[in-house]
Amino acid sequence: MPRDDGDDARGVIETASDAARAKRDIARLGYVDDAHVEAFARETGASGARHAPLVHRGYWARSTATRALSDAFGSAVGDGRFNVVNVGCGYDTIGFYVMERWANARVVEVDHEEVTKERRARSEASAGTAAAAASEVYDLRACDVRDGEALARIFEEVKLDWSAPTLVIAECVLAYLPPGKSDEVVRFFGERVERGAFISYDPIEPDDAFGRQMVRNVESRGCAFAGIRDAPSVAGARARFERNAWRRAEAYDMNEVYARLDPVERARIERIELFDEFEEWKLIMAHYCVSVGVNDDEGGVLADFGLR
Amino acid sequence: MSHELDGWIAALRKCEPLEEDDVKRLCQMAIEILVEESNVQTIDSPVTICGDIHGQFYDLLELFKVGGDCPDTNYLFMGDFVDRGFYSVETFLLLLALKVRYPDRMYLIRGNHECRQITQVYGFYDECLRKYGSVNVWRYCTDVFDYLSLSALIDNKIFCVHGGLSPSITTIDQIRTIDRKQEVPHEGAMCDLLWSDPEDVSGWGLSPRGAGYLFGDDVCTSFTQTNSVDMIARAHQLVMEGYKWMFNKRLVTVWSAPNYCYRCGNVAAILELDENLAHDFKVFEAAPQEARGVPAKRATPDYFL
Repeated sequence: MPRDDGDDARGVIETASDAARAKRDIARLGYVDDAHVEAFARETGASGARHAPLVHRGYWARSTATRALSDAFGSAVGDGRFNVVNVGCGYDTIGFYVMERWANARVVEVDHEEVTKERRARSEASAGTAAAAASEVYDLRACDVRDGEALARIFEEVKLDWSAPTLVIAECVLAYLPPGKSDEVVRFFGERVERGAFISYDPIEPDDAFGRQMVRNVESRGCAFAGIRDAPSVAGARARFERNAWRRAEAYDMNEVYARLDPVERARIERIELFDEFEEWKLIMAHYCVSVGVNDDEGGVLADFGLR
Repeated sequence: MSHELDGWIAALRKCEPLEEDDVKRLCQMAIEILVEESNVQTIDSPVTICGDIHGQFYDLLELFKVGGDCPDTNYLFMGDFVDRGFYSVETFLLLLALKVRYPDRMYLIRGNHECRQITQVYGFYDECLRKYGSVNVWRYCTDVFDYLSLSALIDNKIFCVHGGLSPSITTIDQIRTIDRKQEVPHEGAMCDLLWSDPEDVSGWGLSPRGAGYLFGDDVCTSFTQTNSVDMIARAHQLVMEGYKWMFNKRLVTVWSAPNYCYRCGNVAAILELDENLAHDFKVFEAAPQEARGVPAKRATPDYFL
């Protein structure tokens, strides 16, 4: 996750461990197949105790939506080489997931140096994960994503071919940036990606009763959603793409995303754990959103790209 | 006996857990009282009706501040004392000790979380294990759960239940015939009373919870008419404003856990009924942070980060 200056730096960096642990737990419980997450997750995260089923189901929805979108992207762009850039990758395994599904994928993952160092070290814990990390189509680079020049240098170093279709992923990243910075990051890619998409997963609605409490709670945990007001709603998340060099955009809150995920899979995971938190589930899912920006010619291969 | 009980109550009010042996004795005393109660506990007004508490001990103290202390105020708690919050043990034991000390002023009915299976998922089991190093206290408490009444009837006019109605139940008398002294079953009348929800449906609908049913206005109206009651009071569902009327004021949801799970940002409510059954909702917020004996870090709930 990107670093913030001051006291929040540690807290924001720790969110990567927390997410990894939750994703490890959902793999162990059978929500998702993920051969790599074991290497990355450590036993104790920031919050220690076992997560409630709601948290498992929410992480499943987030991972499944990102995977579904990356699959849709891979199918849409055809046989030629395409890029996947994961910004603020933390310990996400989505890069490896894409490489294993699409032989024509080239993956670049970027995060703050403290995270990339630790990520590199942890990937040695499993032979399969170490092999994936060593692949010639994979790069992991340290960079402060708020620094546009540094970002540009990274992509020169790894010789990213911007003329190939490019999918940018930012999962729970933009909201941690200082106010206004997320626009710069979205624009950075919007101006470079000729044909491609940017998918972002973010908290929204900071100003209703649940949202105010959410903002307070994550702040007291030392990982404030400092930039949440850059895109404080579904409409705001869509607008952020539209004002920053993306030609088309769509966004859905997570209740709607969940309803669009494969019903067979949904029915399967809903049986995994006893679940008695429906009102909260609706509330928390209404406070996160997936937004998608697309750059492509009218009638191009990405004309229909999005959550269908 | 009352001296000893008063000592336990005093300790519990300070959020100090009891010794394991004392828990065992308190639970035995409680069972002796609860076993005599009907499945439909009759209660005389005035009484104050409360919804879910879910181990939010310091918010329960806030509730007593707003509603008055027991025994000065008569209380009916409609279940879900445990799980989710950090202090299920202290919360349940305080309510139980008050029940034993003032059996005609404190009424407790069963919620769907007063159940062995659910408490193993939603926190009470883990909390007992953490605080006592064994699951004995969880066993004593879950044994008490089996004896809790299933519903209450205030002045024969207000029917109170944790969840809602059941397609197997037409008359309140039918509830009286249930053999309740068991773990909450996965289906049937007893399960439905603890799990069902009112909803904007006609007749009965399938519940997304996987237990109980959704019931509509028509079902509610026919139940209240058949049984000559004015309304149904129930809990079970978070409502952001603390209470919510439905079905032309024939049903009310009362929710008494403010800022539920320390995450939802909602207010809570209790429903005060005077001796004429005139009602007055008291809305309250979560206890201020300085009133809670919790390190802030520990109190941070989960989000997707």
